[in-house]
Amino acid sequence: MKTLEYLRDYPDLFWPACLAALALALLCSMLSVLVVLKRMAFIGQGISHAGFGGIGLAAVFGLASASLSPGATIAQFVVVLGFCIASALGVGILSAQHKQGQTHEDTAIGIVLVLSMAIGSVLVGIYSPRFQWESFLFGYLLNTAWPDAWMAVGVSVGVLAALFWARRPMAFWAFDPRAAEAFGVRTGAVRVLLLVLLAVATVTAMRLAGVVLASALLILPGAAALRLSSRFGVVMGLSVACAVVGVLAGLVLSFETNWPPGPSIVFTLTAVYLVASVAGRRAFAPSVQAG
Amino acid sequence: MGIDPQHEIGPSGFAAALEYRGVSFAYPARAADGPSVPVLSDVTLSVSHRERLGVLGPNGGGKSTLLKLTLGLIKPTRGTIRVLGREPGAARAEGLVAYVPQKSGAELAFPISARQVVLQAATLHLPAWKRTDAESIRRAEWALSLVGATEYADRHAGALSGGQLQRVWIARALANRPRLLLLDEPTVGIDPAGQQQFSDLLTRLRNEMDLTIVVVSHDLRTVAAGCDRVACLARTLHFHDAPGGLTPAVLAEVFRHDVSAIFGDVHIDAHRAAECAHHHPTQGAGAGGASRPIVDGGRSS
Amino acid sequence: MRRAVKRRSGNVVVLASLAAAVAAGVMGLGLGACSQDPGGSKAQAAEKRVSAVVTIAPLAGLVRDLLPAGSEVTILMPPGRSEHGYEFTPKDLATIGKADLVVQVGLGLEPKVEQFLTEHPSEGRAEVVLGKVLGISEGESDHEHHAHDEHGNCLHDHGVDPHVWLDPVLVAEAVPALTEAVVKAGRRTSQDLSGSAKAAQEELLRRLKELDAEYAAALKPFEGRAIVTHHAAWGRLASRYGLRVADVLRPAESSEPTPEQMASVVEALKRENVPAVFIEPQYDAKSAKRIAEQAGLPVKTLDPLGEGDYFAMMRANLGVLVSALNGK
Repeated sequence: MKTLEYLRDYPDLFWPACLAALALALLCSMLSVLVVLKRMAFIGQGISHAGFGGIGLAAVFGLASASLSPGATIAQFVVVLGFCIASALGVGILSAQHKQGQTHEDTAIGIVLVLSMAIGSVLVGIYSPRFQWESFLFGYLLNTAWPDAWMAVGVSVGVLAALFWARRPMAFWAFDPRAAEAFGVRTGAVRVLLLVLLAVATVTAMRLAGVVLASALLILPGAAALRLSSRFGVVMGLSVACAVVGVLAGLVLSFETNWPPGPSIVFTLTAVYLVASVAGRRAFAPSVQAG
Repeated sequence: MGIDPQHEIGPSGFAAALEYRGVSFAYPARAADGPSVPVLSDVTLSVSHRERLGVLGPNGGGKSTLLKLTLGLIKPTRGTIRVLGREPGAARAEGLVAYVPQKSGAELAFPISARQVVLQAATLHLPAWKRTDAESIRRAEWALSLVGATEYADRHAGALSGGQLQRVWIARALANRPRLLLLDEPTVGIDPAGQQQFSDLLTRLRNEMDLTIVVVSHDLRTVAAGCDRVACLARTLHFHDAPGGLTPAVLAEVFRHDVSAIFGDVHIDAHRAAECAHHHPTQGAGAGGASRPIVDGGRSS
Repeated sequence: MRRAVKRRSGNVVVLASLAAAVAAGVMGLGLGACSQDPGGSKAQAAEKRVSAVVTIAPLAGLVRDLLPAGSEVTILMPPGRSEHGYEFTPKDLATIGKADLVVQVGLGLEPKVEQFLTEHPSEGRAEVVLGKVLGISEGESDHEHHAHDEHGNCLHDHGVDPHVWLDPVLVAEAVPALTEAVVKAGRRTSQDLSGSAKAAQEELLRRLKELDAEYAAALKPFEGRAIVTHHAAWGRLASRYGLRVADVLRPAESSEPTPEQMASVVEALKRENVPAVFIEPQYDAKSAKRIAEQAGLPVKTLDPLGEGDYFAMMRANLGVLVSALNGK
């Protein structure tokens, strides 16, 4: 087993990646249930592209260069995160007008997406033309250092705490938004909260693990769990379990086959989803199909 | 329940459960210089406690606007609304008003059982750090049994029939023991036998819980069955003391097309119709007496 | 996605250099108009300016020394980009099309440029491909997909290291061919550069010899020592001066190291008494920092491309190597 060898012989090289991957699994899996149920996968894509604009803004503040102090790296992350949250809110506001027949949500995301990329491209070109920004946006799991891993744990805990805090109105809104509004749920606030949490999760996952893995973690665990149960709490738990199993299996696959970890985890998460689909069809066919 | 004396109306001394005074509502203009879009104009209405009002109207006639105004989700452009003597938003926040939306609003692929649907409403007021408490569970069970949904309470909401779902929505609305129940197109997708059961259920709820009920629908059968009064809503309200009192002429005016098709199998009591015609539109407070203090026809547009 | 972005940000720089080129062209036109004045000898010189295009920055430093003062040397690859995986834009190729002199490395580094020159022959245009001049065979490798190769070990598989410019001795070998090309380019602009180019060649060879001697002397005490570098650019330089490249972080230039590569580099660092992890400014330093951290070694920067001043780049790299090997 190369996996055990690696973890034993190079602890500082591979343990942070494992810790970060587990933190991201927790962070994304709970949100992924809502992402799948509310069909928000495209929003995640939009937010991840908003990171380009964020890097552009960081360049204006002199925070886009190959060598940054740890403090400046955190400042850069905060700027990028802030920009992504602002973009998420922009999407929220634009698509809220959808009610009055003005902007469709997909269109809103598309607008924010291309605008962010354009802003980022121009600002980086002006303020930091030699900066290789893509490597700062699209991380590689094995490059995770201990501080990054602990940051992922911190973000995870924060996002999950917020989700826990808002779980009742959030679930009510997710199930029946119109009724939720009538029952006194501040649906606008709940929606914005979900967008912000999604932005935080997307940016963190993208920065550490790359945009492909971030998308996979925000879609596949929830999709798998929804095949397995028709109880919300159980689905949430199963989603976490699917993500953790998929991530750990993916890391082992990567270590054993010497494939890059991101694609390996995508493979194992997809395998988990397929297994869940087959198992789920057998166990819960009537209720799921009737739904 | 404290009643603001200012809102006491009528000879009985009871405040109305729901009261509209000269309420108009218009959506703001699309363009800066364009006209605003009027939806309701000068609606005056009073629904007393334990009354069951049916509001009949064509699509686009302002039915959902009426519900949103009553729930305090939107504010009237003109006029005042009182729900149990309170601002609509405050009454909703206190859990005095509950709402049964159209089926189409819910995400039925959502992994949730009928019991959890009701619990969602019953536990909504709990602080975030508290677990679901015994009291909430007791209220949810009570609501489920009241509507007769206990036997399928554990099934996935998406697996229920239209009629079963309707009961679950009502149980959810009742979980917080409201005083006023609003129902939006409650019988869409329910067969005639189910509709009769549904009407009986509302009657039972009213008797057991002292509920005031407002049923809003474009379907005459839905509003006619079991309602004390029927109002026709097409931007303004037209009142009728009893469902039988609706004349084809009034309905045609409301729906602006031939109503014989929808009118077909509803028995029209000629006597009631004449009575209704007598009361309409000048003076509404006649036949009902003390329990129906104000019925105002409003201006026809 | 990533590829598209690379191209995009590449475009920004290319556009900037293009704007500069256009501005220079406009100035040239203005001066050309003045040349109707029979006394405008200065203007005539400007009109006859040789326009040289090189693919990477170090070549610019070499070619510039051979050209008459005031000649224009355009570097196609924008600074900050790796020489691997750069995709020449249509505008780059258009720039080549107008050039009098084109200098490239060859050996699979710029297949698109080579292809363009073959497909668009131009009367009198001078072309130098260092690999061909030095008689180094590219082998059978299909370098068309060099940059896209995701399975890694491209250089290891094919055994051809294109980084000939990092070896001053090889560069000196190529200088006569460069001089010839400059003279040819001069003929295209109806100038006789043979005299001035010959003089410049002597000077360039002298400086290269000096550089070679400096390298040899400075690295002599460290003969046999191993280094670990970011990508496989330093093999020719190392073997010339008695060093050994024990391992590289990015055997595949365009992708991050796999778990096994990371572990193998850490092993090499521990085993070989390597002084430092040598990174390059063109690549993301994160993985190198992680590996250096694990091995408890410092991270130093060697720049295989520089800013267009060949000798400055080479001397800076020598300084970094020596101080690292000295344990500083």
